[in-house]
Amino acid sequence: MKAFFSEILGGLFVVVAATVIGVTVNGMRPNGVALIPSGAPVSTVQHDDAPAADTSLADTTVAEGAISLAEMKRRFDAGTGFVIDARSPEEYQQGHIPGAINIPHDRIPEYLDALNSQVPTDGEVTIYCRGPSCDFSDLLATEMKMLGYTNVSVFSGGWEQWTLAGYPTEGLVPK
Amino acid sequence: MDTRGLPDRRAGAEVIGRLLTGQGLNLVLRLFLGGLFVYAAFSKVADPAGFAMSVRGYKIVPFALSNLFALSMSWTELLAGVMLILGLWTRKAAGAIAILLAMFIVAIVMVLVRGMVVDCGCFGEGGSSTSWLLIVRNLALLTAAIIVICYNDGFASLHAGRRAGRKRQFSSTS
Repeated sequence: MKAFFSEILGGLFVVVAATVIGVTVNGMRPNGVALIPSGAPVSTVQHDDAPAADTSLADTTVAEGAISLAEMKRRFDAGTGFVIDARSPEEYQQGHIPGAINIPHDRIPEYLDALNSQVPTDGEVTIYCRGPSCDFSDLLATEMKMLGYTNVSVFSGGWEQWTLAGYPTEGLVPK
Repeated sequence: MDTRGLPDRRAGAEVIGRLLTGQGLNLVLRLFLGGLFVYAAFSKVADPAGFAMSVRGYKIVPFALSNLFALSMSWTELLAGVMLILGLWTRKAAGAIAILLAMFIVAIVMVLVRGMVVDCGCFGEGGSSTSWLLIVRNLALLTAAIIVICYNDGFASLHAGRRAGRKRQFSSTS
């Protein structure tokens, strides 16, 4: 048993050595990452312990970096910005806000080319997912800000509030 | 009553024991684990920013440490994988792989318990999502790594560590 743990300890040395090599190579290559990521995680999600996760249509105040249902509707009507659906492709296919681009929050690297080709970094971006307690939008907003997108906000009411309000949708399931 | 069963069972256990500790199985497991981890490391090392995103998706590692953590994990996979294939400090390399696998298992359990579904990031982008099946797979891989740690004797290796090296010396002089 003692011998076993000494090999695990040896394994830790391998981890340390690999980290040193990795950090060194990362520093020398053009597409290396910053050791400490710049920016801060976006957090607009309303957890269950927060006062009444609001799915009603009342235009309540929203967290910093988030927009209300009314503002979402205004942006939708104006049609000048980009709406991004951070849910899974399956949910997106079932129904989404018309014109929304699907970038599943957990597959950002895979969808990066689609994102770059469709959305300019200075574009007005609004991200939504299922509803107020869903944090996919926050994760995607965090990554997009790190990628250089300057005008990113989260529609925290999400699909839940949008459909509850009876606003237009498109997709397989007619509303 | 059943006296014949006992020696049979003992013989069976002996066969399994010999198989587990045998050089053949150890070599196969070593090459398999090494190949798998070098393959897994490839896309992560090539795209550190993408893998860092996968790490942040789990929401376990603090945001500020996510990039460093991603670098450390992907390069450990690569280094330990290469060491396993070549047979360089094989047991320690398998130890590093076991540490990684144990971390993966804990991370996936945490994500599943919290009811999240994230891309596992196991083999770079576009892989499978986290699931209980993934935990079973990682447990199987962890078992393989532990067998290598316990029973590797430096067979077909560049450098096998002190203990196995001594054994090899004995056999060459006899």
